[in-house]
Amino acid sequence: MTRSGHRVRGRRAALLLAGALLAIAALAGCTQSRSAASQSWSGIVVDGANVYVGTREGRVIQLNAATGAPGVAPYEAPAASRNEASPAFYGTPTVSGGRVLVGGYQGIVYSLDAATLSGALTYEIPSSGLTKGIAGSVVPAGDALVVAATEDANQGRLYVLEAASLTERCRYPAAGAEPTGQLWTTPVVVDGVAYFGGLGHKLHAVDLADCSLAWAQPTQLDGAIVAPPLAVDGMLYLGAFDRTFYAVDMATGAAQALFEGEGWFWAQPATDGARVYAANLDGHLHAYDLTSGALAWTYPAKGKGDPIVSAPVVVDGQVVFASDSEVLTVLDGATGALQWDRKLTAKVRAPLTAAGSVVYIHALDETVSAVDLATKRLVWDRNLDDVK
Amino acid sequence: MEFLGLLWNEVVTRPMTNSLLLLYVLLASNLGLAIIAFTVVVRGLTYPLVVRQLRQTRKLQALQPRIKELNERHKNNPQVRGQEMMKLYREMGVNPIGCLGPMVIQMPIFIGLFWAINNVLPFTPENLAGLSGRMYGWLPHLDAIVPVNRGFLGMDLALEPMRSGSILGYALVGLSGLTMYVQQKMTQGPSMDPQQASTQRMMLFMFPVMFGMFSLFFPLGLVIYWVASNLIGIVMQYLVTGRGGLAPVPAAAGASRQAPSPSRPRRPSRMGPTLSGALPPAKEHNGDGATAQEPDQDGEDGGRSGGARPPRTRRRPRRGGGRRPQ
Repeated sequence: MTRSGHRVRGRRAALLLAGALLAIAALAGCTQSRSAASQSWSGIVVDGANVYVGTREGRVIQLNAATGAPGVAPYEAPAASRNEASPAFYGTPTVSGGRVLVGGYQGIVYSLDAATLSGALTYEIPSSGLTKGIAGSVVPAGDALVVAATEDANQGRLYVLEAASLTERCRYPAAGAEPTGQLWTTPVVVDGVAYFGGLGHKLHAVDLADCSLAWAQPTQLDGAIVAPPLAVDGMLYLGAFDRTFYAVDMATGAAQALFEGEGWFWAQPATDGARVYAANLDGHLHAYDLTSGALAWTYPAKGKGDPIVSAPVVVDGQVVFASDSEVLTVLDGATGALQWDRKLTAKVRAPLTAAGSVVYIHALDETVSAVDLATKRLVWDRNLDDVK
Repeated sequence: MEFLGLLWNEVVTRPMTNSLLLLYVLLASNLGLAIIAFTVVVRGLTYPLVVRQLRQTRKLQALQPRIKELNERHKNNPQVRGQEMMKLYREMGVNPIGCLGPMVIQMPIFIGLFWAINNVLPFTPENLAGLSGRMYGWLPHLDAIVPVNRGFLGMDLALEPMRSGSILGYALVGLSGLTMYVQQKMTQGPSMDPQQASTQRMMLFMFPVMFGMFSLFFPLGLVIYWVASNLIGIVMQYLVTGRGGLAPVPAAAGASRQAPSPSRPRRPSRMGPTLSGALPPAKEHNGDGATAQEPDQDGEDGGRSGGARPPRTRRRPRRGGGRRPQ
């Protein structure tokens, strides 16, 4: 082959190689985004004069509850390595004993000083599974913390930690027991028992004293469970992916189907004592009357709305919810009639939080808004990307 | 743009996602088998397109000597060159972009399949929540199978081979490159142009290597699809064009494999003698890498036509079947 032929061939090979490297780099970016959280939806916790919220980039931010002004410097979780999930926060932070508690999607529990967001204590889920992660909240229970975590594709586990030191007290299920499926939920703790469902279609009740099963066996439902249950008068209320809303006896685990939606139930229900409000991914909000044992109303009554991932809240007889429609909707709790609504900056998937008459909303564009239901006015809003 | 996204979702991604889930239900909740079955169904549906594409490609390959000849003859007159080329294409029943059409139609299918597999293997809560909106509410039993079991032969199909570290996963990556090499080797025809032949050789190795490297970064479910798809493609190619470039070169052909010479019989092809039989060889390799120009038989130049021109018959390519002697 001539010298020019070699040159042409070499140039083509170099071009092909460059193209291949570029394509691989681009594709690596695509696949990275599969395991990295592209959204995440941490809710907001109000503690005295401050609110705390987690972000999709693994930051915990403190804002003034009245003005939205940033407080101390945010805490930044260490960046994930190539083989780890994103440090994003899906669960709502909790505050207990002057510590902010939050679980990261890369499988680490953080305990931070609430005043300074420093002095981090951490506990990493002891699993070599490549898909381990925490998608729910860390729940304080006396001197313990309870968190549900995913360890690998089929196994999740409930961890009970010492609140002061973040050392492990016990875990459920024990090694070798039947897998729970992935756990992407927040346990609800009542009288020393944690109740939670998993993607393995089962609802579990675990005694926090020794991590033993409180029921004879986990309650099997027909669909996966992400929604944290709501405990009311000895009953748990929750919906599942089989489109069914259930009432489960907290003492025995016996389940009873109450009504069906047209899509999956994802969000934790809310209650005002008279009714349970359950949001569905089909865009409907259902009100179940606890006295009559029947469905009281469904909003909207006709047609479909956008998926509701965000948990509703009840404030002064009004039920408030936000959805993928980018609208905050306020309904009359008794009738389901629309009171008023307000356009938001983006879709909302984080659970809503209420303190007094103010509702705090964390939208997917990382804007946190405070809306006063009494005045129907925006109190403040702030984009978390601007908080340094 | 929003409308296009909606259209894409409703016409391509959503039906594919639901079909994959349905196959998962039918195949005892085995996602690996469902992906393979899905590949067979999709490749079966696109079979007529693939056959057309292969035939057009083959025809174009067979025309290369004459195209080169036209290029050289009319290198100073692009207009005449263009006209002559179109005339040649018409005469031989070749659509120069005919092989692109089927490829273009297949592209959305491949991309849709990529997203379908990604959809049924949600990695994050937002992916799982998104799956709800992509499932047909009227299909029974689908809600109950979520989340799908991601295990297959000890592998997690949602993980990339790099992350899973599974030996079988790496073997699948190797297999995806190997099957692509075989398929490509079958596709490549003899080239008259040494430079083109050199590029072909390079691509023959380059693409499988690239493909193998891509596979390292994609979920194993997709790698299974690629391997299955390549294997089906090899079978399809064999049915349409025979072994193609995989066929052994007769010893009489001498050192050069780049072009058929008048002194050796042409490799039988499932395409039949459609074009190859009708086309005069344009170059003769003399064994030392140099080529000699065959006397022009087209008669177009008015001074070089010396031999009798073979009849310019247009025969229909034979479908499948065995070989026939030439």
